[in-house]
Amino acid sequence: MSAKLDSSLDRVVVLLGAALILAVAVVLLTSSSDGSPAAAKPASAVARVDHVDIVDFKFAPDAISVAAGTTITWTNRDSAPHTATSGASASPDGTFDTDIIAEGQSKTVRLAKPGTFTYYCALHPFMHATVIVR
Amino acid sequence: MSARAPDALRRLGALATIVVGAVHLQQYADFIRDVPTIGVLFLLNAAGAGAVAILLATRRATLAAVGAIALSAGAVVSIAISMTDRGLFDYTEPTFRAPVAIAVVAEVAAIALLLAYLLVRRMRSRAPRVDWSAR
Repeated sequence: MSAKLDSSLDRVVVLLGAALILAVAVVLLTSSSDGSPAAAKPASAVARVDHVDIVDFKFAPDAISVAAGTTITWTNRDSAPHTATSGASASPDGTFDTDIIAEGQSKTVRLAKPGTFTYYCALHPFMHATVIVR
Repeated sequence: MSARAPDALRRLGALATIVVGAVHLQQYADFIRDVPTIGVLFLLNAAGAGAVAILLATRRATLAAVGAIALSAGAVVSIAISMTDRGLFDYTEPTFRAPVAIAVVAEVAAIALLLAYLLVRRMRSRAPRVDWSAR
């Protein structure tokens, strides 16, 4: 009886382990990344809004378009602190920097000069997005 | 101690290791895949956790237990480094998010259970044989 139970418990562990490996294979096959997350977005993917949420280590939307002189608001809805710092990953260009935005807080930046500005999170340089100022 | 204690420790250790791998896989699918180097390490952790869990359930090998302990210990050390100002491979984890907390609890549990499993096995192999069925 106990030998049978032992064997069944080991079978459960084997099944769970196999399911985990299978899930890894499925995730690997379905999550295709082209390795160029900073690539230009099609026009339809650029949102005409003046606020950006930070959720699950992502800027949402990750591309916005605003008129010159607009004040943009970043709200951190994540469980970790973030920043919105202009420039490429780990290389700030000095155009703007919200500094640390704590969980639940918002920070604003006014952008007067037209142009396309990429920005990232100084704490998590893999997070990046774009602001187009018209 | 019960004669079945080592098997219970081994199975619980294997289950904790599966939880470790599952959390790493969930985090990979969520956003970590976009993080250079760390993404690959998370995927390797998940695949490795599945593999050592299967080995723990089938071969009961000491090597599988040692592998599972190394996997969890490596994950604990990595999360500790990522919580420093320097971060780990450009990745900083400044707070104890829920998935991080679950992973750390599972990693510590896996390490403790499998160390106990190895210790009990070692003590049993050195002790004179006892006929447990006669008790």
